[in-house]
Amino acid sequence: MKHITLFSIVAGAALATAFTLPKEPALGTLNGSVVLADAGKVVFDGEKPEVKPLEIDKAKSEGCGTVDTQDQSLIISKEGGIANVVVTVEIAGKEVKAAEKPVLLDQKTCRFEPHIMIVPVGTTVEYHNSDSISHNVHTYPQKNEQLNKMVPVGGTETQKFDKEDRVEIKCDIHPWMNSYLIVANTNFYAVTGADGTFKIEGLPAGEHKAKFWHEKLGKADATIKVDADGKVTPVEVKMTLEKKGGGRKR
Amino acid sequence: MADRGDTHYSVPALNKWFLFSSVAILIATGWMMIDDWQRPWKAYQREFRVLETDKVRDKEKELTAAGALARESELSAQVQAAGERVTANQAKIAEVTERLRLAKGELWNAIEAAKKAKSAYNWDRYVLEEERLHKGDATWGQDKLDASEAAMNVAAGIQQELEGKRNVIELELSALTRDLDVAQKSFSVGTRDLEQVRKRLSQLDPSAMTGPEKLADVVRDAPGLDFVKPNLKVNKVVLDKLTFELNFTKKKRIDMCQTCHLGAERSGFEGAAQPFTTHPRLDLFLSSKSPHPTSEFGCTICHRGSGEALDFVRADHRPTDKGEQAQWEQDHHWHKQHHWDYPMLASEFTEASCVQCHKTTMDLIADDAPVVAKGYQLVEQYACYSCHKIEWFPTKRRTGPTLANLQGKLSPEFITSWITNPKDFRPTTWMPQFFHLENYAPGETIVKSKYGAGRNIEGREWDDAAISAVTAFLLDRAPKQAMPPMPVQGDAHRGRETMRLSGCFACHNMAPFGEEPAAMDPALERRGTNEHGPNLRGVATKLSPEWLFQWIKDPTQYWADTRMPNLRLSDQEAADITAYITEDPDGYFHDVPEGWAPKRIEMPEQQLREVLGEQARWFFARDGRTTIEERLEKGTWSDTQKLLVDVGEKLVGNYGCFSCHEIPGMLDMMPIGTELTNWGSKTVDKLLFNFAAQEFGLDPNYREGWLMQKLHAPRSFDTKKVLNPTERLRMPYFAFADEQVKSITTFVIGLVDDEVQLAKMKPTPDLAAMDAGLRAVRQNNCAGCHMIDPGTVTFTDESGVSRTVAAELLPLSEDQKVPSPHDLAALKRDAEKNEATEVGLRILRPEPDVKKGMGDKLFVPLDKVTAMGAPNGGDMIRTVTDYYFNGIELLDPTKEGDEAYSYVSGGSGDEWGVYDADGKLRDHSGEPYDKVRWTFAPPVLWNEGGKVQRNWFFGFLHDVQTIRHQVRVRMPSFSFDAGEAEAIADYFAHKSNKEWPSLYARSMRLKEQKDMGALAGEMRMSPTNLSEIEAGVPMATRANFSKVLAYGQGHGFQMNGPVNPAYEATKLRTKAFLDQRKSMLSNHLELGEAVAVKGVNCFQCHYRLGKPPPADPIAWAPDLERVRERLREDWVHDWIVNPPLVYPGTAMPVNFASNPPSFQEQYRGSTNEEQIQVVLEWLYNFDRIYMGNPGQ
Repeated sequence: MKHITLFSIVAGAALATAFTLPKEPALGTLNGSVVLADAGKVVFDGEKPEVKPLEIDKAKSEGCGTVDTQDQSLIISKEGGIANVVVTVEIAGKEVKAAEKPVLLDQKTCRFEPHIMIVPVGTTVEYHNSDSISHNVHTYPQKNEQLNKMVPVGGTETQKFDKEDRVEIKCDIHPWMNSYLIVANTNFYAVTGADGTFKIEGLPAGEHKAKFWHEKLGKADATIKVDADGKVTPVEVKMTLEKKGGGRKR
Repeated sequence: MADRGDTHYSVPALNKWFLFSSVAILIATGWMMIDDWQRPWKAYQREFRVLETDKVRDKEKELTAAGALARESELSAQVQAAGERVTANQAKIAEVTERLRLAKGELWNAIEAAKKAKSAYNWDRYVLEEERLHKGDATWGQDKLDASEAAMNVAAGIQQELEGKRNVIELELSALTRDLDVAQKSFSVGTRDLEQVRKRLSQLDPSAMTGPEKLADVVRDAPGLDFVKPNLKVNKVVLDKLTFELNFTKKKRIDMCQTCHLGAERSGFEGAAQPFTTHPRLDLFLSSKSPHPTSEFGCTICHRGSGEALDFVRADHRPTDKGEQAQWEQDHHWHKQHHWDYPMLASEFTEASCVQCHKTTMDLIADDAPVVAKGYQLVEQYACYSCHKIEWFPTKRRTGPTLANLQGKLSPEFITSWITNPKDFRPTTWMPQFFHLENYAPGETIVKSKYGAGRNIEGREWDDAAISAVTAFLLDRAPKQAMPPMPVQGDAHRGRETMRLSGCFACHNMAPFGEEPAAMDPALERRGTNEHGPNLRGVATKLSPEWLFQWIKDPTQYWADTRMPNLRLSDQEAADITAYITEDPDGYFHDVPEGWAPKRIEMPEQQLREVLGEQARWFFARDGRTTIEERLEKGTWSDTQKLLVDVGEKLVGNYGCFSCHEIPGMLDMMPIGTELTNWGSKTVDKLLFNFAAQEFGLDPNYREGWLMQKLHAPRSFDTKKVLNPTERLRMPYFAFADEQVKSITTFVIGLVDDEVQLAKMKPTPDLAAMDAGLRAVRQNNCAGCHMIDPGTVTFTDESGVSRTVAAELLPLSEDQKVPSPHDLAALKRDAEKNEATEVGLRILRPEPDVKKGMGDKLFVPLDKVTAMGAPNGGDMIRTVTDYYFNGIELLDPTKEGDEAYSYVSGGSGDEWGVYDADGKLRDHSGEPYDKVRWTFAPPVLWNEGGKVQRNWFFGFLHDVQTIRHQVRVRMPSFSFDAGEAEAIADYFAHKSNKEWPSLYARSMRLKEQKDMGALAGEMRMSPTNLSEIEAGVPMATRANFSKVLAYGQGHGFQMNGPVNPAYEATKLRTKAFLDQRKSMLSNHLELGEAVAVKGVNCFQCHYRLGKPPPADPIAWAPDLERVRERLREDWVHDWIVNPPLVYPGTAMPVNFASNPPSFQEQYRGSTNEEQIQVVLEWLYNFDRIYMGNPGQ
C-alpha cells in the first residue's frame, strides 16, 4: 500500500518557549501524586490546506435552526494550532476510574456537541436531543456493541462503554452530523483546544508515552517527561495526511 | 433273503446297492447340513454377535460407572419401603376397600333406578305427545309429565350424590397406596436403560443366560434344527416396486445384504471393520426416519451388485483400487461376476445412483451429493446435452453465442484463430477444441486423395483447410450488417467508475492469463460467481466499439438467448463503458496471451484446392464421382470461395456446431452425439474399447474407465485404427481437469432407465419449486451481487469445543478493510502484519451456544479460528465498498515499489470521490464501513421469502423498478425463460419457510439461556435431535420440532412465522379490520400519519411517492408507497421494532423503544407497540391516504 505525504505537520518545533509552567501546580493532586500538566501547541509548517465549509442547504436542515457550517474534521488556527487532536497517556498499573455520572453528548442545531469526546472505560454516555427535530444516534464502535436509536425531540438515550474503543457517532438523517467518542483505558487524556494546546491533569513524575490521534491526520506518538518537581519537557509530534486510496482512511 | 431265482435281478446284490446308496445319502445329507451350517454369512453373524455383546457390555459398564446400579437399588429400596407402608396399613386398606365395595353396590342400584326413571319419563312423554296429537289439545296431561320429570330428576340427583361418595372413597384408597404406585413407576423409568441392556445381554451373551436359555440358544442354531427359530438367519428386504431387468423381464429386487452388513443400519459401529461398519449417512439412508429407509429402498438400488447373493464374490463386490483387488483375490478368490449386468459401483461413484430418482431435484441434493451435482452442473455449463440428448435435462438452451450476426462482431482472422484453438485466446473458455487433435495428427496420412490415385493428405493440411472452410461458411451465413454509429461520445474515466458500480464484475472478471485462479486485484479476484460471464481481459482486441456499445445497451438484440441481462444503461453510460474498454487506460482490455495473434491460414491456392477437393469427395460422396469431379473442374467449385463455403457447411454439420450455436439454416438439425438418456443402463459389452483397453490400461468389465478416458482424450479411441475421414471420432477436446472428469462420469453412469423414479420419486410441489428456483438463481447468478446466506466461522472455544457460527468478519484494526471471507490464510497474514491477535465477528444468526444474538459481536483469538465458510454470494458488496473507500488500485509496470501503485476514483485530478445518484461527486471514504455497505451495496437476501410478498417479487423480476435510488449497482432486467421468475419467487418463499424451525429453536434457546443438554432434557428429547433441529436437518425437524414448539409456547416464547409460501394477504387492508379499528380508534390512520410524519419523520430519509427526500443520497431510503404491495406485514413489524436485529448495521434506527414512549404529542397515551400498529396501518393504506385509491 502506498502512502504519499501531502504535507506533514511538525508539532512543537519552536514550542519550548511555550511550555513555561505555571509556578504553582494548577490542578491539585490525584492519588497523592504530584501533579502537573501541560502540553503544547501544534503548528503548521507550510501552506495551510483549504478547508471548505459544509454545504448544507435549507431543505436538508429544516428544523435545525442555524447550523454551524464549519467543517470540524480539520480546524487549524491562524497561528497553525490544530484543534480536536486526541491525546491519551496510559500508565501501567493505574486503576482506571469510570465517570460517576453519565457524560453528555448533545445534538444541538444539527451538530454533535462536543465533536470529540474522551471518556474512561466503563463510563455511560447520555445522548440528548436539544433540537426541535428528531435525530438518531448511530454508533460505529470497533469493540463495543452497536447502537442505532431514534432520539426524539428533547429525548435521551444512554449507552455504557465497557471496552477501550474509538467510536464514530453519526446521525443518519443528517449525514454531516458526526462525532468521535474515544473510550480510553486511562484517566489521563486531553483534546487540543482551538489553538492546538492541551493539558493533562494529574500526570505523575516520569516518562510517559503519549498517543495522539486526529480524525483526518491519523496517529502519532510522543514521550512526555515529567520531572520530580513537576516540570515538563515539551513534545514534538509529526502527523501525515495520507493520499486517498490504498487502505481505508479515517 | 436267499435268491429265489424267480427275479431278473440278484436280491443280495440289490441289498448291497441299497446299503451303499443309503449310506451315501446319509453322508450327503449330513454333509449338506454341516455345509449349510457353516456358510460364510453365518460366520459373519457369529462374529457380529461377539462384537455386539462387547458393545452392550461396554454400555453396561458405562451405565454402572454412571451410578445406574446404585440408583436401581435406591429405587428398589423405595419400592420396598412403600410396599411395607402399604402392608402396615393393611387393616385400614381392607376397611376402605370394603366401604368402596358397598358404595359401588349402592351406586349401581341408584344408576339402575335413574335409568328406569328416565325411561318412564320418556314413555310418558311419548304417550303425552301421541294423545295431544290425537285430541288436538296442546295442554293434555302436563301434570303427569311434570311429576314424572320430577321423579327422574330425583333419581339422577341420588346417582350423582352416590358417585361423589364413591369418588371420595376411591381417593382415600389411592392415597393409601399412592406411594407404592409412584415408587413402582419411577423404578421402571429409572432403570429402563439398564433393563434394556440386561434383556439384550440375555439374548446375546451365554454367560448372562439361565440354564434353559443357554440350551435353547445352542439348539436353535444346531444343524438340522435351525429351520425353526434360528438366531442366525438371512435378513432380507423385498422391494416390490424397485424392479430391475433380468433377461427381458422385470424382477423384484430382494436385498439380503444386511445378512452380513449387520451394523450398517445401527449407529455405534462407525469404527468397526467391514462388513459391520455403520453406514456413514444414517440421516439420509437406511434408518426408518430417514428419507430412504431400508424397508423401502434396500441397498442395491444405490450400490448395485447382486442383492440376492449371500457370498462375497457372488454379490459382485467392487474393489476400490488395485491393492484391494489383489487382497480380495487372495482372501476371497474374488473375480468379476461376468454374467451379472449390474456390478457394484466403486464407492467413489456411488453418488451416481442419486440421478435415477433425483432428476427433478438435482440442485437440492447438491450439498449431500456434491460430486454428482457438480457433474450435473458441468453437463449444463459445457452443454453436453446439446450434442448428447438427455431427455429429461431441464436446461435446453444453446450455450454458445448466436452466429447469425457474426460479421458485425468479429473479424475473419479472429474467427479462424479462435476455431483453431479457443483456449489460445481465452484459457478459461468452455468452447472446446475441434481441430488438430490426435486422430488428425500433423504428420499422419488421413487419406490418399483422388480415390487412392493422388497424393497423401496429412493431418495438418486437412484440418487447416477445414478451419478455413468453416470460417468461410460461417461468414457466408452471416452477411455483414453495418453497425449504427455511437450516438454520444464516451468518457473512459467515467466509464471506469460506471463499470465498477453498475455491476459488470458480478459476472465478469479481468484476471491475468494464467493467473485466473488467484488474480491480484481483490475486486476482480476469480471466484465462482464472477466467472459466470467470460473473463474480459483482451476483449478490446476482438470487438468493435460500435458492436460493444449496442451489446451493452441491450444484449438480447444481438443474441436472444444470452444469459447477459440488460442493465438499463443510458446511451451515455454505455458509451462511457465502451470508451473505457476501447481506450483502455488501465491496460486490461488490450492484453492478450503470449503468442496470440489473429490471422488467416496461409496455404497456397493449389494445395488448398487439393485438400478441399478431397474433403468434398468424402463429404459429397452421395452426389457421385462424376458430379463431384465436374463441379471441381469447371462447375461451381472452380470458384475456391464457393468450394470453401460448401465444404464448410458439411464440416459444421459433421462436427455439430449448430448444437451450441444458432446458425441460420441449421436450426432444426439433429444433434450428432450418442444419446445419454439411459447410457448407464447400456451393458458394458456394447462399448467399443478397441485398442484402448491395452493402450490406456482400461478394464473392459466396467464402464467408468472408458468414460473417463473419453472425457480426458475424446479422440484417443481411434488409436491404431485405420479409418477414413468420415468415420473418425468427432467429439472435441474440453481440457477437463481430473475432478471435472470424475464428476461428469459419476453423473453420466447414473443416467439409467427410470422405472425406479416413476415408482418412487414424486417430488412434493414445494421441493419441485425449490429445485427449479435454485437452478434459476444459479443460472442467473443472483449470488454475484446478493448475499443469499451469511458465511460461517469455525473456532475452538475456551473449553476446547469446536463451534461454528454464522458471522461476518469485522476489520482487524480501525484502519483496516473488512477481511475477505474466502481466505483464512490471508486473514492470518493480515493479522500478523497488523499485530492483531483476535478477530471480531458479527453474529448473523441466533447462536445460543455462544450466547450471542443477531448483530452481537464476538471476539475470537486468531489462533483458535480453524475454518471459514464463505458466504453464499455477495462478492459485489466487497467490490462496491472497496471502490467507495479506496478507489481502484492501478499498477504501472514501468515503475517499482510503492511508486508503481496509484489510485483513481470518480473524481478527476485532485478531486476524490464517487458520483452519487444525484450526479454530485462526494467523498465517502471517511464513512464507517457499515454505512457504505448497507447504503450503497446490493441488498442481502437473507430470509427474502419472509420479507417480500411472492406476487410482488415475481412481478418485480419481470419488470424491475428502482427501490433503492441511492444504489448505483443496477438490478438488471433479465429476460427470463418461462417459469424462471416464478421459480425464483417460490424458491425464496419456501426457503424461508424451511429455515423457520431452525431459527425458532435457536432464538428460543438463546432467550432461555440454557445449554443444549439441559433444554433437550426438559423437552424430553435427545441433545442430538435438538442440535439437528437447530442445524436445520429436515429429518430431525420433521420428527421432533413439535416438542420444541410446545416448549416455547409453554414458556411464553413467541416468534412471527413461519411464512406460508402461498399466503400473503395483509389483514391491515381489509375492510373488516379497518371497520373494527374505527370502532376502537376513530382516527387511527391519522394517528399513524402523525406519528410517522410528524413524530418519527419518516420522509426525512424515505422516498415519498417517487420524490427524493431532502437529505443527501447517503441518507436515502426506499419509497414507502411500495411497502403495502412489496413487504409482508409481519416482517415489517419486526423490522420497525428493531431494524438492527434484521440487518445488523443498517442505517434505519430503532424508532419506538423509548421509555416512557415518545410521540405522546401525536398520539396521546399510547404505548410503543400501539404506535407501531398505527404506523403499520398507515403504511399499508398509503394509497388510500395519499393517492385517493378507494378502499376494498
